[in-house]
Amino acid sequence: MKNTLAVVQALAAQTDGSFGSVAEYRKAFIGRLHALASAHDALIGSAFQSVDMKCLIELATEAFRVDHPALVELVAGDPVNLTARQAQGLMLVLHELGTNAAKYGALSRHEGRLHISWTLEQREDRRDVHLEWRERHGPTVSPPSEKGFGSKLIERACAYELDGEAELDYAPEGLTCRIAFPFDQEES
Amino acid sequence: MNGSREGVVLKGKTILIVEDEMLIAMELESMVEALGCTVLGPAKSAKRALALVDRERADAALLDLNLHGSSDPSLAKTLRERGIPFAVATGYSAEALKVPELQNTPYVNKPVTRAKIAKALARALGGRPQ
Repeated sequence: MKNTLAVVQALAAQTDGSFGSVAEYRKAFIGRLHALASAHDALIGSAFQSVDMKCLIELATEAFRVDHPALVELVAGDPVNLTARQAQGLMLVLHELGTNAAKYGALSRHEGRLHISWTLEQREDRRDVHLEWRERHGPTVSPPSEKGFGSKLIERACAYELDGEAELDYAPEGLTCRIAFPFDQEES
Repeated sequence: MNGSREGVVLKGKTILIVEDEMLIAMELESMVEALGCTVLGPAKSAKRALALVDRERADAALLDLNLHGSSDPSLAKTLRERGIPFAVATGYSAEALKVPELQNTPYVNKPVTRAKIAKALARALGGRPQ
């Protein structure tokens, strides 16, 4: 319980910097808190053991799909079961990407498209999950002048909770985020 | 803070952070940076922390007491052997710190504040804050 409070404090303290108003700050903080809570909800069904990645992605993009079903195209690869840690980390990552897309990217326009897909790739003695979040037909994209909390969170969550890496590609035609992480989790 | 004795003790020091909760690790990182220190890590496990101190020098460390639900006294022991002083951040009571490996270790109760961290790290580094 005390650690949960510490996590919430950490989230509140980190949600800062670029906000013009208290209302914006509150929206960002509540959004991140909600992302953590929904990962929690997804895990309850399995007694906190695992979550199917497709279900988690559907949950993370639910709000966008309800309003405009054509905005999001999800092409599922082979089934991937996420551990509790992976699920929480990936949920935060998807939340940051979704918030950004709704504000500045493909999800801010009716003609925009978000394409999410993944593949499993054999690498020597292990398999890696390669997850791609690709936005197209949104406003022209330019790389941010400085790294915000959102992109830092994406990088960290991928490294810390997925033992993997994230790459953000700010091409003019749309943001692409590529995430790679080991499919078979080992003790770290 | 920077004008205080703690600020003088801490400025320019390299601090290893070991914390398994990502969001707390990010918060500790920005607090420690705000104290004028350079952060090594954060490392999410004792194993990764040891790999870091094998490669790079740390003046002191800030440890989460309970990594992945089991405290890891081996990390504390190794840091002591290498002469790296440390402070502990914990969600538990002082009672929980009464293990031989953590004797006389400065500790910070979670949730943490920058001032509490400054005090504990300065104490670990041998400063004498009031």
